[in-house]
Amino acid sequence: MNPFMDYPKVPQTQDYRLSGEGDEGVFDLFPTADRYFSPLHEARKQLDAIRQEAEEAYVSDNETDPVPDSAYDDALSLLEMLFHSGVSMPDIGWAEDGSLGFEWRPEDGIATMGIYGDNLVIYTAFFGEKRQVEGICTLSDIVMLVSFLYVGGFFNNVVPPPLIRI
Amino acid sequence: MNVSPGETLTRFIRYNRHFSDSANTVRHEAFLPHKNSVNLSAFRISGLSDSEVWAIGREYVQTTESPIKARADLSAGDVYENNLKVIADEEGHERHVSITPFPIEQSPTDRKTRRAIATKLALASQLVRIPEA
Repeated sequence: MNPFMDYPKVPQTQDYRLSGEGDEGVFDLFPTADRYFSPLHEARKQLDAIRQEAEEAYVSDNETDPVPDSAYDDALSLLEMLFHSGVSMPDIGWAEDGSLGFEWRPEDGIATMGIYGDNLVIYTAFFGEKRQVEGICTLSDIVMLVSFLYVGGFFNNVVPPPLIRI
Repeated sequence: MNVSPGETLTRFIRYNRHFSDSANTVRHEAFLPHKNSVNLSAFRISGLSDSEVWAIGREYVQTTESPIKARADLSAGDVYENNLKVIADEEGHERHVSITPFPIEQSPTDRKTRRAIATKLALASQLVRIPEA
């Protein structure tokens, strides 16, 4: 079985999102102080600025789709999980297709994640000349997402994530 | 009209979050069109001076609400290497081209393909910031 394609084939509805209880369980693993005195705090500020720019673009440009609130929620959840897995904070952006994106630019290539607010993460990386990794997984599959980031030695300082109970 | 692989194309950028000032790179979102669009708008700029290129952006791309912030330069050859075409459609301007076809977004798999294309184009492109007035 191809692990990159092993995602639930369900309609993209909010019904499929992680339950609120589940989310709280994840965040309870992390000290509250981390939320305010860490790169996560900066990431939250970035998300606020992105929301403002994306909303202004949606109002003024008929070729831009709105970024749903669920995408911001998913992005914040993923940022917290990545941060606590030792991954450096990404550069964050938004796109005209109504998505949020994370991007890392190590010397040897590029790695991106796309978030649409449907509990899925679309990841792509290009390393060196021709090596490419891409796939789709659920937001909670942090092991897959962190593993993909250090394929090819992208992030040598990242320790493989422990088994986080989600 | 054919666009040779050696020609330089540019995509104008109107949003701060479509490029990285600190990394001096074009972000992949700058190359993601609307989900129902198969075309990405760009211009042929070979043979033009820098000021002529910016003049095209100001006149044909920027709006009152969204002025041009930067541009992403890349070769037509980089587009062809990603199994895309460069169609010189001259839409609105004689140097306008469409980079195509992006798959229409109907499933997560389509999204994956679109993002992979955008990511490769971003990696191949060069950020040029608009000169301060």
